[in-house]
Amino acid sequence: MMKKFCPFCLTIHDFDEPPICPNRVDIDGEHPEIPREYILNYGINKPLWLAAIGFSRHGKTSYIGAVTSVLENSYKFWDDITISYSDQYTDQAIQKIRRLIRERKADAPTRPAYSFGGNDKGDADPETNEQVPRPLIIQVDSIPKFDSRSLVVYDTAGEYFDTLTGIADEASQTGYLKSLKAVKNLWFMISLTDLEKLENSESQGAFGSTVVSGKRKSQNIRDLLNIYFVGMQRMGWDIRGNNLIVVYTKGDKLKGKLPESVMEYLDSDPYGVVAKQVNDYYQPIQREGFDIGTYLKRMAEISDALRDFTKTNIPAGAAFLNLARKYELNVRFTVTSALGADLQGEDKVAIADITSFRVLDPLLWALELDQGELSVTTIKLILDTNTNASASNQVFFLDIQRIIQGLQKIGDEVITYYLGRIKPCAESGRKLPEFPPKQTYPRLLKPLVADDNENSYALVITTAALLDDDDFRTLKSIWKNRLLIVSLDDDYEPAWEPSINFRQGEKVNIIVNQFKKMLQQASN
Amino acid sequence: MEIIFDKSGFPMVKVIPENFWIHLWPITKIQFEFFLCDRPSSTMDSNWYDRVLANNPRITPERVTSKNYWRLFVTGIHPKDELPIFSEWNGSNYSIPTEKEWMSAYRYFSDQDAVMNLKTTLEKSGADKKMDALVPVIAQKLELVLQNRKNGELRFSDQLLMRKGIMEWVRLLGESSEWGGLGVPDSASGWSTSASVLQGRPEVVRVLNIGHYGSRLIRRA
Repeated sequence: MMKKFCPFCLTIHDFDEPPICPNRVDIDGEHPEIPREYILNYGINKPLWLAAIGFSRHGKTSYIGAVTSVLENSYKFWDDITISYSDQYTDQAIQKIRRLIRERKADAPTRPAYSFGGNDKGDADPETNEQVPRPLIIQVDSIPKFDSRSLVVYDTAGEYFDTLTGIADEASQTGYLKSLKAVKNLWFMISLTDLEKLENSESQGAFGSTVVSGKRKSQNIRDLLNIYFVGMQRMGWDIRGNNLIVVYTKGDKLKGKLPESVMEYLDSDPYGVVAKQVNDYYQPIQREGFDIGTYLKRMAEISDALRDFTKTNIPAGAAFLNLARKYELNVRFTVTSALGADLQGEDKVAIADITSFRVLDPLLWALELDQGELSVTTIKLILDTNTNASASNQVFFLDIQRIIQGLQKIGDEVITYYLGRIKPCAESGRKLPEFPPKQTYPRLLKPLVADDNENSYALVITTAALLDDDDFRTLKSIWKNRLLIVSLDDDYEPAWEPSINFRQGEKVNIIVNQFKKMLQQASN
Repeated sequence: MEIIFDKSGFPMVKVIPENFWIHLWPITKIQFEFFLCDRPSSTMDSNWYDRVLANNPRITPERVTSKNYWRLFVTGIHPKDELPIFSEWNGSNYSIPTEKEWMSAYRYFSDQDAVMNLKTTLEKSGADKKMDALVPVIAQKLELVLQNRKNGELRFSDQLLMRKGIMEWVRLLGESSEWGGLGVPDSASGWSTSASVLQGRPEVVRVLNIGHYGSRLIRRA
């Protein structure tokens, strides 16, 4: 059976009836309901996971408003296409973005959020209260060449990228940026004119840097990629093979700065112009057909031109490209104008006055490059059932739920087992049994992990020596940096590395952090 | 040589004239542990298995030598209690051999030369099947154990450890509810039982010490 990712917590868990996400709580204190359309169409409308990242006020939100508007009007140039917003949140979020655009407040910081770590009563645990982005979920059927997809779009908060340690600081404490781990298609939204202003601005700190609240402010395109990379590495996540689509936003302000061929391309967007056309009632709709193959070919040529331009004309552009190549990222370039012009004045803007240019390009690149299914990282949490151990050594006195929550920020699914039993005691997202099992199982590990692939990891918590830990000496090449053994017994020091001894009274975060450290070593 | 793999990824070889497969080695602790984890039971729990291991301690394949290799195999299991469940878990066409079946296999494989580089042969056979990752290590270590045997004496049945292995349960001929043992344990194990066995000839013996008895299964085609 196809494993389905929950779009809210980005883990695999059962979708009960009603299908709610047990790991998220919205601002009303309720577990969000997963759109049924998303669940039913999962195998047909394959999800396309997208994250828009970039500095504050560089146009992420305006872009989302623009691309959805063009998609809504895409029936004018693509036969059979349909678009629908899968839940009320998505619909309201997009309407809100358009309202902000009309009120000339599109640059306002975006932080769609709800708390993480809700319990059965829907209360957010204050100690783990974290802000996480809620995705927009949009069903798009019959896209030429790309068939039907379920777009899952995360609009991340720009301030996490504004300083060089921003993403790493926040990601280490919250699950906010877990979407970045799972999503392989990234829109890197960059306003070159805003970067230029920053470079020319005053308030220089030491060594010519700009400082914000004691932290060096990110300044250029390389910094953005570096922030992203450092954050991913700190969490132990592998970014190799990710699709990085650089979107030079606010293209209308780049006249005279970009190569002429690129500006001509930007200004001559056939889709944007047609989408904007307003049809009077009872008048025939002027439909235009465009050959998608020709369009994609031209898009690729422009990407190459922008790549060359980035390398030679953008500060740290060459460094950015080198860094991307080092981490084996698939990089493509686009230029867009979400609003068509700088919206000056104080009166509200009519949507009819806005023409977007080339806003479909980043989406088309994502469709073109997308590898398909998210690769599933499975974490097996394996618990010793031995209740004969002294009370202080029993696994069930630990805050297992907190350990699971910590692991859920790292892996896509966390499945819990009893040592010595192949069948899980709790599938991903399910509650643990209230009491330990009546019988004790032999302290055997190997049968539980025999079939695992390289995307599987195991965390074992045991009260005494494993019967078969010696077998893992031979299996070291397979399980290196994928298995952590935690011993609750000071007299048992596992031969396996990495392993730790844990004492009652210590914070279980130690265990999760050690696990994270192991993953970081695996990804190096 | 035709090789297949059982549910836990361990090799079986075909006794062609009799049209059945038989485990290459007596059932190892690794195989039995897979079964324990997959089919938990209140009788074969942690305490039970601790007693089994107390009688015949576990050893990882990497540490096997000529002085301890029998510790790879599970002993102290009974054909009326644990073994039938293990056999049924493998599949309905698996069973504990009769003495006739065991001896047929012994004679058939005794007519064959030992296989050179058994480890490589197994790796090739198991490449696209679910062979347990430790099988090649066991094959390599047992090859070293058997190297001490005199040249020219080594037969394929020796690689199956039908001599210098452990005592194995067999169903006795004509006595469907009675069990005996076949095999020639290594004298170093201290498990040898009768004079003829000590001379290297497998012979059915009545059970003297269940703690020394293991088994291998056959699978009917």
